[in-house]
Amino acid sequence: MSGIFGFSLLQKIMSVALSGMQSQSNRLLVIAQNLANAGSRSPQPGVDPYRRKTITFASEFDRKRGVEVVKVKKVDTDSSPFPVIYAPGDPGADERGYIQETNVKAPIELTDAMESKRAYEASLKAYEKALSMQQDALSLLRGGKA
Amino acid sequence: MASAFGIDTTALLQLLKSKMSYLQASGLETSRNIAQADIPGARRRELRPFEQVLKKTKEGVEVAITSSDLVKTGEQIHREEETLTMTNIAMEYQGLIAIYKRYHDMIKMVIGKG
Repeated sequence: MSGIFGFSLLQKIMSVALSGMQSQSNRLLVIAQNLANAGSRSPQPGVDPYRRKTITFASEFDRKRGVEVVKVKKVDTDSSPFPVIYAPGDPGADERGYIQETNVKAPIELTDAMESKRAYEASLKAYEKALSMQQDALSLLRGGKA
Repeated sequence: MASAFGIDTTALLQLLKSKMSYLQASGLETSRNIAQADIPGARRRELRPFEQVLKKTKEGVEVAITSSDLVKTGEQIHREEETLTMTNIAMEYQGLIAIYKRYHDMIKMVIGKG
C-alpha cells in the first residue's frame, strides 16, 4: 500500500484491466483472421485450405507490477476436419471433383467476436472505474468538490 | 486520541482510510475476476467482508489486507455481476471521499480556516 489513498492498488487494478483488454484485442485479431479466410478452399489438390485458429488465455504473475494479469497462452489451430464439397470446375479440386473448404464457420466467429467485445468492454469499465476512483482521490488534493 | 463531541475523530479517520484501502483491494480482485473470465477453469475470488477484516485488526491501526482475507469462492465468474460489483465499489469509494472531504472541511472550520 503506498500513500493514504493507495494509488499503487488503483494502478494495479488498471494493469489487470489493461491485460484483459489486450487479451481480448488478440482474440479479436485471431477472429478477424478466421473471418477473412472464411469460405476459402484448397489452392490446389493435396494442399490443405486455411485451418481455423484458436486462442487460449492464462493468468500470469507480473513481477514488475506485482499483480496477476491475463496473457495469451497459446494460438493454436482447430483440428476439426475440413468439409469437402463437390466443385469439379475448381482448380483446387481433386481428380474426382472434390475440394476441401476451410473449417472456419462464420456464425461461430461472429458470436465469438460479440463475446470478445463484451469482455473487452467489461475490462474497459473496470479500468474506467479505477480511474474515476483515482480522480476522486486526487480531487481532495486539488481542493475541489468530491 | 483526538476527541470532539464524544467522537474519537482519529479513529473515525482511520476507519475511513481502512475502508478506502479495503475497497481498492476489493476492486483489484473484481478486476481480476473480469479479466480472467475467459480462462478455462478460472474461479471467482473475493475479499472477506470488511467487518471481518476489521475484527482482526488492532484498534486505531489501518487494516492490512493479506492473503488470508482472500476467499476462493469456487464459483464460476459472471462478467456482468463483476462489472456491477466494480461499479458499486467505485460508488462507495466516491461516497467515502465525500465524507473525507466533509471531515477535512470540519477540521478547517474548527481551526478557523474554513
